[in-house]
Amino acid sequence: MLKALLKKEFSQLGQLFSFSRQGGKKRSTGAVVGMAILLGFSLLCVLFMFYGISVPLSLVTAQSGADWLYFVLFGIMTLLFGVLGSAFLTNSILYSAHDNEFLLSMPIPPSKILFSRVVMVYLSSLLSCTIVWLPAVINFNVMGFGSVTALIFQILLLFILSALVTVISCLLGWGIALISKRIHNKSFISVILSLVFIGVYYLFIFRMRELPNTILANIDHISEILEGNKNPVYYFGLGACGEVLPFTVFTLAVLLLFALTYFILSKTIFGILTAEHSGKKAVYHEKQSKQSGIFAALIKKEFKRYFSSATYMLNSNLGSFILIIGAIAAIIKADALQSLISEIPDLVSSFISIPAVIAAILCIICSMGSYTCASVSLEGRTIWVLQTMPVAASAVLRAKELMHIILNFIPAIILGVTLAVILQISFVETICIALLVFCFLWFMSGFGLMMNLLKPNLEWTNEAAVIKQGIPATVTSFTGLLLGLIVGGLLYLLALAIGAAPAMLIVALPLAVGALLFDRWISKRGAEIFSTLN
Amino acid sequence: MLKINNLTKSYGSKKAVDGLSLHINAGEIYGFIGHNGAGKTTTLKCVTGIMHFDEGDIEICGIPIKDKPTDCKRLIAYIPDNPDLYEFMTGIKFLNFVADIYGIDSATRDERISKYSDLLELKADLAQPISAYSHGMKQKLAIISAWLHDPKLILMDEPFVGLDPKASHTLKLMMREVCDNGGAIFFSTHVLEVAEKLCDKVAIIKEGKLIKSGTMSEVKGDASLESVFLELEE
Repeated sequence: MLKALLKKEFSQLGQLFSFSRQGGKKRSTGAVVGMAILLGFSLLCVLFMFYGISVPLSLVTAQSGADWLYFVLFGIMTLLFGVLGSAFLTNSILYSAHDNEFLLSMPIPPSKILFSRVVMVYLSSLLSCTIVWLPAVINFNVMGFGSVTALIFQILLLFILSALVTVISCLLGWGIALISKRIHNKSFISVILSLVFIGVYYLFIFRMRELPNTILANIDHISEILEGNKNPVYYFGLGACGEVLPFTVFTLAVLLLFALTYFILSKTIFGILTAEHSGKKAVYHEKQSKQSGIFAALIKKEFKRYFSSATYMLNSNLGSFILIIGAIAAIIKADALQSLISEIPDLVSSFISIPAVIAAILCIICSMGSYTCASVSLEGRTIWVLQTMPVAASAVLRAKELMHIILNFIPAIILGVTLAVILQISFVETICIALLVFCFLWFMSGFGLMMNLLKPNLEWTNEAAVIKQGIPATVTSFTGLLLGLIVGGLLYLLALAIGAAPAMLIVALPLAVGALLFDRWISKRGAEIFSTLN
Repeated sequence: MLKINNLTKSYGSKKAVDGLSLHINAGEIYGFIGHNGAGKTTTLKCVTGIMHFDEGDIEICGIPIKDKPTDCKRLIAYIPDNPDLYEFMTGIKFLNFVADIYGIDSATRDERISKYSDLLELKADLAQPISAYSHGMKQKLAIISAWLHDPKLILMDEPFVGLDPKASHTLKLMMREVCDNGGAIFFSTHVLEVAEKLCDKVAIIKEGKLIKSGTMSEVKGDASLESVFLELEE
C-alpha cells in the first residue's frame, strides 16, 4: 500500500516534467531534456552563488578560530532557504492535494497517506538544503579546514537539517491550511503573504552580500554571545566541526522533534483534510438592486475576476506593486532624492533629462504587468456566457483593455506625480510623462490582447498555465520589456537634443498609432475570433 | 419562432450536422434527441450564434443569426450541458451581471430573481460564491439567469442533468409557462420519458442528419418513444 502511494507521488512529480500544464499534452523528449537542463542550470547557478558566499565566510571564521560559527551561519541560511522554499509547497503537497478526498475514500489509513506526503516534503526540503549546505561543506573541505570525521558529520547533518526543515515546513503548512480553511478572501491573504515572502527573500539575498563584512566586523562579539550563553546553535556548530557529543545531541533532538510532529499530524490529519470551509455561510437578504450600463457591468466583471485570483493579481500586477512601493519610498526618501539631484547639477544639465528618465522608468515598470495577454484565456469554459449575450464582442474586449490601463496607469501616475513634485518637474513635462505612459499602456494592452486572441487556451485546468506560461504571456512580457527599453533609449537620445517634453511627445506618437491599429484589429478580427472561440 | 434550413457544419472532414432543417413555432416545446456525438450540441451552438456553420440559414423570429447575431441573442437564452458559470461571483452578483447586460431595470429584475429563486429554492444561497455551489445549484442559477430577460426562445442542452426531482418538476412547469405565453423551448435530452411526456414535438438526429421529426404522435405512433428511438438508431 505504502509502495503504491509513494509510486503515485513520484509519478505525479514525473508528470510535471513529462506533461504540459497547458491542455495536459505529453511533452516531447526534447522538451523534457530541455527542461531538465534548464532546471539543472538554475540549480547550479544558485549553488555557485552560495559557494561564492562561503569562501569569504570560511576565511573570516577560520582566522578567528571559530569554524563552528561558519556552520552555524550556513545552518541558519539552510533553514531559512529550505523553509522559504518548502512552506507553501508543503501546503499544496500535504494539505491541499486534489486527491485527498479520493484517497481518504479508499481503505488507506490516513497515517499512510501522511507518510507518503511527508516523504515528498522531505525530498523537497533535502533539495533546498543541499543547494545551500553542500557548497559550504565543499568549500570548507577544499580549503583544508576539516577532518574526515567532520566531513561525515557534515554530510549527515544535511539529512538532519532537511528533517528539521520538514518539521518547520509541516507546521507552517499546517498553519496556512488552518487559516485558509477559515478565511473568505483567500486571494488577498495569498497576495499579502506572497509579497511578504518576496520582500523577505530579497532582503535575505541583499543581506547575504553584506554578511561576510558584517561578520568580520563583529566576529568576536557574535562568538562571545553564542559561546558564552551555550546557545543550542553553538552545539550544532561544534557537531559540524566533528565533535561527537554535540552532534549526537543535536541529531537526537531533531529526530525527536520530527517524530513528535509526525505523531501529532497523524492524529489530526484526517480532520484537516476533511475540514469544510468553516467560515460563516452568507445568507441572502433581498434588497433593491442597482442597474448598471452594459460597459460598466463588463468592467465590474473584469475587476471581480482580477480580485478573485491571487495568481492573477501577483503575476499580472508586479509592476503596479513596484510603482506603489516606489511612490512610498520616494516620499520617505524625498530629501535624499533632492540632494542627489542637487549634488550632480552638471551631469543633470548635460547628460540626463530627469523627466525623460522618470517616463522611461515608469514605462519599463509598467511593462511588468500585463492583464490582457491572459484575459481571454481566463474566460475558460465560461466563455459561452458572454458569447450568448446580446453584447458586442468588441465591447467585451475593450473592457479587458480598460482594466489593464486603469490598473497600471493609476499607480504609474501616483509615482510619476510624486517624483515630479519632489524633483520639481514642470507641469507641462508632468503631463507629457502621463501622456507617454498612457500611450505605452494602451499599446501594450492592445498587443497583449491580440496575442491572446491569436493563441487562446480555454482548456486550462490551472489558471497559472495561462497567466504565467504560454506564448501570449511570454511574448507579451518580453515585448513589453523590450519596448520599455527602446522607449527609454529613444527618450535619452531625443531629450538631450530637443528637450524632454517634445521628446516624450515624439515617442508617444508611434505608440498611439500602433495602439490605434491594434484597436482596429481587435474591434473587427479580434471580435470575430472571440465570438466563436470554444 | 426558429427556422433552421439545411444547416451543415463540419469539423475537418467529419460532418457533425448534415443538411438539418427544423421549424419551431411559438408555443412549442421541441425535444431534440440522439445518441452521444449525433450533432445535438453543435446544432444548439449554431442556433445561439457561438459557432459558425458552413451552409444553411438560421432565423430567430425572422432575424438571421448570421447577419444580426446581437439582435437574435436578445430574444434567446441558452443553457449549456455543463453550466460553467463565473465562480468568482456570488449567485446574486451573477444574476445582476446578466440583468445589466440585458438592460433589465431594477424593479423587474428584483421581482424575477425573487420569483424564480423561490421556485427553484435557491434564494437563501444567492449570497454564496458560485464556487461553493453544487452542480445542481449551478444548473438552477443558469436556469434563473436564462429566464431573467423573458426570452422568446430558450435553448437548453440536457437541462435536467443534476437537478433534484422537485427542481425538475418546477423546470417543466416553467417551460410550459414560457410556451403558454407565446415563447418556445428547444432542448436536447437523453431522458426519453421526459421528452415523451413534456414535448409537443420531437426531432431525432443521427450522425448529423435529421431522421425523424414531428408531433409526438407522428413520431412514435402507438409505440413508446424509447422503442422508436432504439429502432431508428439501429
